[in-house]
Amino acid sequence: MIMQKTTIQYLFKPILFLAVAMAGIISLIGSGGGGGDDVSGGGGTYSLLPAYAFRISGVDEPLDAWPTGVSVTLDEGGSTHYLRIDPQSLEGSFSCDPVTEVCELASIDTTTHVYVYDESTPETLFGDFSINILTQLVFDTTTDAPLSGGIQLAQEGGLGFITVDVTLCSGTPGVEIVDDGVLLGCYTWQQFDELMDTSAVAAEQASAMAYGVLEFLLELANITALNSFDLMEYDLENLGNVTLSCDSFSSAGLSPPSPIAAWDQGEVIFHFIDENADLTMGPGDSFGYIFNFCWENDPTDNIDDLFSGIIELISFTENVNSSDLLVRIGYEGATSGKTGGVFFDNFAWYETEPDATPPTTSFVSQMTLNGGMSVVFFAP
Amino acid sequence: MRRYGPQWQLLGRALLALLGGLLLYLLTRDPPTVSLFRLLPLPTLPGEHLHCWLCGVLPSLLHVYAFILLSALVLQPQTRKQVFVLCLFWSGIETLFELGQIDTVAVLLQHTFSPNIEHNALLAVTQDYFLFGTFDPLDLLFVGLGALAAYRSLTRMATPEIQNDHAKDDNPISI
Repeated sequence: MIMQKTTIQYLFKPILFLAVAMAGIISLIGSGGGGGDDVSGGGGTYSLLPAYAFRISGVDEPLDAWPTGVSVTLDEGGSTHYLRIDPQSLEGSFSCDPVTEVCELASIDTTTHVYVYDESTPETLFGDFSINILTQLVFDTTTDAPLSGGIQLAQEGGLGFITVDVTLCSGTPGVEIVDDGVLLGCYTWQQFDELMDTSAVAAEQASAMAYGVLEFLLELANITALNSFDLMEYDLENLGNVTLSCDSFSSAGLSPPSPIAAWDQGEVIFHFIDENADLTMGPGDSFGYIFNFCWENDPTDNIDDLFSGIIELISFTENVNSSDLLVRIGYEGATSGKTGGVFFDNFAWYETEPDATPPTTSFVSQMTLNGGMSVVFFAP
Repeated sequence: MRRYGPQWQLLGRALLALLGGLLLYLLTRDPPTVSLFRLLPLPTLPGEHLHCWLCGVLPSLLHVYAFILLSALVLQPQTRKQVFVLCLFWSGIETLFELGQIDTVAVLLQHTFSPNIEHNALLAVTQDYFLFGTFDPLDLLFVGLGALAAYRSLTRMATPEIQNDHAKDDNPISI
């Protein structure tokens, strides 16, 4: 009995101190930034740095049944493929012109690791594999093509290790594909881009797909996060949302594709979710897109994109330093109990093409996206 | 008139400091930049927030001051050296958290937290602290001042004999 009392007395102070220390640390964390009120609201006035690092990583929405990353159902050429793309980390940099505020992809770094899961039963593509950057991919910001660098596609058994090195093929920029030390071929960028549609060997097709996956993730970041930063300049605090018209089929001399009842001129609604209920737009708030058959007519390309569905942009991050320079922006962390990131909810991405006898239009492919990823740009 | 003992005085000072800090946050901070406003149903005051130079850094002073006093109430340090160690402990913690708000450090920490935050609200809030917070060297200065003020409060409340005895390093004090 005496022993018990002594032990309790002995433990009482440390336990109580631990509780005080925990309370102190939790209240310290809960106090947020301690450096004054220099975090600006969304769309605030700031200048851009000449370069930003970026990081895209797969996130798991706890309320969503979808696993980490972006799940893609691809319907193309009469086949359906189920894929999951999990960017454990897709990292690199953008170079920006602080005057025009135009940013271009400058590099993809060696810290990049992207996993591709072939979730069809049985597998319909190349099985599961990972994409790694062996040497930094450095991009020509005018042509958007890499100038140097190397990618590795890795698969246990099966494909093994395939490397794709940026090089010159007979004097033309392109890539050299090497499968476990054996040179498979040298292709110009255009040839490499079209390898999936040819009778090239699986290793070559998988290489083209691996590079396509990196481009696809960057395009998703562009459609979702990067575009949203411009749309925040609308008076969303008062309007709540803004509706923008997309390109119309009839003005391009075409009719909307069948069999789905696509609108002749679709729209995209961008809306603001005031997570903090403070009537101001800023860090911790969320945004969203509703695409209603939004067609983007690229006059330089016969194949165009048509979007339909919902994208949520949760937990906006924006940090401006004391010199009014934007040092961090994106969707990450968490807000109001929701994981931060960009999330796709049965978001349909169609590719359309005019038929041989316009004005009719057909679908070339359809992707349905679910799941999400965090996207953030920050001072390097 | 009833005189309150040193322990009650210390508790009163600590609670006043905490309340003062909370009031400063309510009056001066934009709610989205403060995780407490998201975690607790704290009222958002209408109108423009107050802007003053000290308002930004005073919470650092008040927080370290309050928790040194609360810790002293629990641990009851017996010597000036023990009080000094306690002050060093809290100012060290606050300094580390402030340094974590430097952008490059915050990015490194974000890499640590990101893979694990999905199901852990505390980790998510911790990440927000580093990412949304802004490093300010003045905060470090005010953490130091807060620790100094707490040291003075604790040693002044010791018995008169100890207050007058500065010769020995390990002066016993009684709180």
